[in-house]
Amino acid sequence: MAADRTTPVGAGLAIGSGSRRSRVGVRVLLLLGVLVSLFPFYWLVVMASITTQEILQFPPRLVPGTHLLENMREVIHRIDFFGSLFNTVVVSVAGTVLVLFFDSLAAFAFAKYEFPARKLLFGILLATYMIPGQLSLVPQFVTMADFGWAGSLKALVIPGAANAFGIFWMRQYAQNSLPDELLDAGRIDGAGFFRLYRQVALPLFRPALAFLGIFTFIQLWNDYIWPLVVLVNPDRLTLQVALANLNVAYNTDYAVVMAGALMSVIPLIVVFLIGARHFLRDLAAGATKM
Amino acid sequence: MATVVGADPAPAAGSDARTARGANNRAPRGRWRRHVPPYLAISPYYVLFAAFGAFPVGFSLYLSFQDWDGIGDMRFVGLQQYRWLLRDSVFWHSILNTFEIWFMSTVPMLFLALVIAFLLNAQVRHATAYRVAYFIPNVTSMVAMTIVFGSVFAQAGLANSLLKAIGVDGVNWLTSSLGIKSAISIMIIWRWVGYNALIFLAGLQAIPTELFEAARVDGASSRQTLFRVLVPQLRPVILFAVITSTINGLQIFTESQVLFYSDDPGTTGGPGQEGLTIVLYLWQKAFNDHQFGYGAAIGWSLFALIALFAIINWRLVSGSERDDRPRIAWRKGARNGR
Amino acid sequence: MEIRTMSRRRLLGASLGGAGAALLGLSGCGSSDGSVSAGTDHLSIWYWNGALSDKLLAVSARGVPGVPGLKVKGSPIAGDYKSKLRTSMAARAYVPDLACANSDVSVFFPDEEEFLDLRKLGADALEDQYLDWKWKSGISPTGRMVGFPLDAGPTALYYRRDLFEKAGLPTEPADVAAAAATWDKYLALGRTLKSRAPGKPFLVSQISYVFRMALYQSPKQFVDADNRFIGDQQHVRRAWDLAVETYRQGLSARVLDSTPDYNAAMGRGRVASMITAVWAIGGLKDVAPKTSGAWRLTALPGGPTNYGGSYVTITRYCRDPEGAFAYLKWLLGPENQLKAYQEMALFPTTPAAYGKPAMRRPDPFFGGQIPVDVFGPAAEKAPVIFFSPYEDICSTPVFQELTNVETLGKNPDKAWRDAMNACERTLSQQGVS
Repeated sequence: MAADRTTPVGAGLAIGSGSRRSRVGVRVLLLLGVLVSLFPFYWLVVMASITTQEILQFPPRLVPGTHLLENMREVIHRIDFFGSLFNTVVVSVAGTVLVLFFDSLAAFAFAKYEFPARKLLFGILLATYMIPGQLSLVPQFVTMADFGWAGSLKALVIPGAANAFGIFWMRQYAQNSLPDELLDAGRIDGAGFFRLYRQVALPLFRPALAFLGIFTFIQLWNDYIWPLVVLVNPDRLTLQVALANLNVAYNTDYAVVMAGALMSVIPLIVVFLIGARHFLRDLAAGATKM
Repeated sequence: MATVVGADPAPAAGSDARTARGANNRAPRGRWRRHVPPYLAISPYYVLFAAFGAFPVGFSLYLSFQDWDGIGDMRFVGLQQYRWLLRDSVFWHSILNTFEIWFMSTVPMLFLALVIAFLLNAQVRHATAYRVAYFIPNVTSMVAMTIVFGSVFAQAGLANSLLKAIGVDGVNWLTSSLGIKSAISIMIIWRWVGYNALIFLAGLQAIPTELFEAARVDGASSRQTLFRVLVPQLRPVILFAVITSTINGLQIFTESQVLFYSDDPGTTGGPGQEGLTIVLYLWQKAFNDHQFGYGAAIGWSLFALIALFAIINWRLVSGSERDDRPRIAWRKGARNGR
Repeated sequence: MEIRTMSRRRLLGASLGGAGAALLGLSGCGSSDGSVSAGTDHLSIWYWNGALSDKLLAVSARGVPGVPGLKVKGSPIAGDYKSKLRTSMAARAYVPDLACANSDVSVFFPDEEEFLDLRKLGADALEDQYLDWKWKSGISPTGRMVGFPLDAGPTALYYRRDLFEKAGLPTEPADVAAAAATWDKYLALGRTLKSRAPGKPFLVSQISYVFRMALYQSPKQFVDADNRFIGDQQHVRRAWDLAVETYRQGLSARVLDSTPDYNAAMGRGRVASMITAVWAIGGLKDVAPKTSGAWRLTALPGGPTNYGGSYVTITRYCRDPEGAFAYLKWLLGPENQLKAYQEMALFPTTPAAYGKPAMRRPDPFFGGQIPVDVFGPAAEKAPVIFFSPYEDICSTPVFQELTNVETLGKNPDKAWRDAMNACERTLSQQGVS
């Protein structure tokens, strides 16, 4: 296809099209955006690796320094970093596992089975999705107090263990990607609901599980307001709350606080980079199927 | 859709060996037994929802009619909390703040996301790397990045240094009304542009190319194609993005709270409380001032607002869909003869 | 269907889930009776950084002297301490056995049942060792002793002798006290400083201090003992007008505490005096070390008052009330209060300590002056103030509006009206008229 100015930049025709100048222009603009996206991380690294005095100086120092390890040591000394990291991992993993299990199970049922009141029940599910979380912030706290779960990680994992979004999303996926023929073949072999779920649905669900899993994991990891409210035990916090406390308690030690921020950002970025390709592809798929 | 004939060869436990669809069942007990597994499968959600979704909502309503500090006794006050709410200038201020921040963040964010989606679509090499780079802000801890941006927007921070370097006066990012809202909006934009760009991108790439072929064949200019073909096709995706941005935007908490978090609860929301959002006010009233009833009332007001706003958004963005039906409008006159 | 890979994957899934559940189970247990120290061998005390002597805490963590088998470990709580304590109580979980309470201990009086009555544990026998007004302020209107005196915050006028000298003002503490005996005289000093001292230093760092000190000189505050709003009356208005006047005469540096601007102002001599409590000494030394030797202390304009000072409470979740009280007796007896003063500058609430040599050491930061010579009498003569549980709720909007006047240039009359309206509104929500 020749360099064709009237070809719109967009939708499917863009491969190799456009003049060399417009291609370079696109790349430049995109790189600019990447710079903006990633710059705060670079800045975080710079601030975490210099001293507080250097942070306050004007003009500001623009390159990383040599104090990173020292600042990180201070962080560990001042807050229970590894403890809260561990708690965050436990919450994120356990929560994700529960969500994946309950959501896929329910989605499988909704997508591939007929039972009385199925439409009504699913409708209720959709409606529940509309309820904003903040409405239940206060009463949920009271409920946790009544259950004796306040200050415990249970409060972070169990209430959110099945969420409407996950079920809705996986049901779409199941309807589109779970062939009835396989299920019927399984039924002929004598498999019941749960065996079908285990042996047919789950393997086919894998990409959706991967996406939902990463999505949920990230959400749980970064959750702030609910842990802030319900983790009343100062010795059992998640990373986000511990970091916020560090910021409040030592807010003039900018370098140390920044090191703490860096330390809490890295684990999730690493996890994300590992699963990125999967995640991004399925994010796109999910969005268009909505 | 395959049907299965009656009896199963292998001894299977229970009657769920029979298909759930279209099979005859002799014993009425057996029919219900057939439905047990799916009910069992969906029950975790409903049980959890009943305990941790529905009950708190109802309890929240009940709480909003009480005066309670969470420790002592509850005192029934009827609609008093809502009456206070109506007269509470801080509450209205928080609503104003929330809307201003929502507007200042959502509009540029969606626009930028659209532009980036187009750019990403035109760029094929290193596609995944670009997508990852744009998406990463969405993945990172809001607390950590608010701390970073807080330092960038400090009076003597990086932002003002850059401005001064190009000869412009520094901005009172964290001490003026416009400054605070801009800083928070910039944080939100930074975080969500990538996410929405990828969604728009998916929408873009799902548009069938025949539409563009048809447009080109009919001699439409780039601009006409853009507005008469692309945007209408993207409308569902744009709608999705606008609604989710709205719902998210009305619930901003972390950026606001962490930016001004200190030992002194009086600094919540920053100077003049210009950064106080509705959810932050809810949290402040419930867990700093320990007025659980008032916090519950604020929660319900927020719910009403979100519902209202989501409906308005829906009407605005999808309502004009009706205008697009005569799509031949982009043809200039009857030049091509019809 | 590949059964082998199926079961492997299943195994993985099951073990993940199992591990998660197990960890959950582990992390959930403990403290079903609400105390944060349940299941441990020690009692816990919550405090904020600087409220208690670190050395004494270290001792008690190993074992409280004189009380065999008793260990008390301290947990420093960052952020909004009061809110976190109340949230724990509302959560009925992880409540400490003992907790420090700040000068607004009265905020706990409506929930006094959450705390043990120290009199029932034998506090009365110790009453005469402590400052009278401090002892009384820890007792709720129903007679329940909630807070045991920890430290006090007697106030004084800190001034830069060198700047006063350059402005031709008196420089000796006694003379300055006379020259600043009333608020009007104090402001007049400020005007002189501004016109004659080099660098045109300001009198105060922010006008909220003027407001606060003037207000604390009154026994009445925002709400009276009958739960009626009295914040719009003369005693408050007078303090407000004084503060606004200070701003109008340009005598305020308009810098907020703990900001880099504040640090710079104090360090560079932009502020010539401070009117605040004894516990500000540590902060001043940290922020402006180079000004050491230039500061002096004298009596506060308008009379002595008290600002701040904390208490220690025992919560109803305490697993060993007698032990906790024995710990209190040890920690807050005159001997240890003296030690805490030496270490942390926590001003004792036991007057017996004031005459001790350890307290009478000259401080080079104040040119060899002995701080307790000023703060001791101030502590003993401070007026008894009635603080209602609602003081914080009222004072917050007032201080916010004062800051708005000072930093945003808001019209003072409008600010006063807004402050009063905010007070009345918030109070009526609480059931106060």
